[in-house]
Amino acid sequence: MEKKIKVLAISGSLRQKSSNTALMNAIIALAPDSMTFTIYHGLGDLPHFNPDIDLDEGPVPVHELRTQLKEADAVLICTPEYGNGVPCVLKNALDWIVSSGEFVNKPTAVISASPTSMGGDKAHASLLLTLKMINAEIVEGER
Amino acid sequence: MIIPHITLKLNHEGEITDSETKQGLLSLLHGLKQASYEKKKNYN
Repeated sequence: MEKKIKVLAISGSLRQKSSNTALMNAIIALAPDSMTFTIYHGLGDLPHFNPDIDLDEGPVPVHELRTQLKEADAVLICTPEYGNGVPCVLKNALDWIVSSGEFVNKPTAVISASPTSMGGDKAHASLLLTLKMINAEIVEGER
Repeated sequence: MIIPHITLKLNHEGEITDSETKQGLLSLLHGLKQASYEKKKNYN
């Protein structure tokens, strides 16, 4: 029997009626039974990235994020684009992971969705740059 | 995957109504699954 794949799903938006969060939930509903999803709810609780406070296990919300990433086989990120870039809360979360390395070789799918005709392409490109820097394995589709 | 015009592609129940988008997302999910299995295989 196939082992289930555990996916951590992260929406880059804190907005309650976010289209990207709605899309993330729709994707989870589409997924095969062999995939289980945990939705990460802590984006808004993370302190501003500051290496000075990253001692021992780091602040509690950071430790929780790192633990959830460690336990996941893969990551799904759905993000809007704010001001031609990645939402600051999402970038802040990734900054906390640069030194701890939970994204290294982690299969990661990135979706950017927007009401505009560009679909958040600049946030998408910027997010890929950061994820590649922290050695995430970017998945584009079936191989 | 970049998805333009997202608000036109989700209905009131939050379901994806556009078949091309749905196919793209399914392909992405299968890619994620394949990559995860391959990684597990390499580590075992």
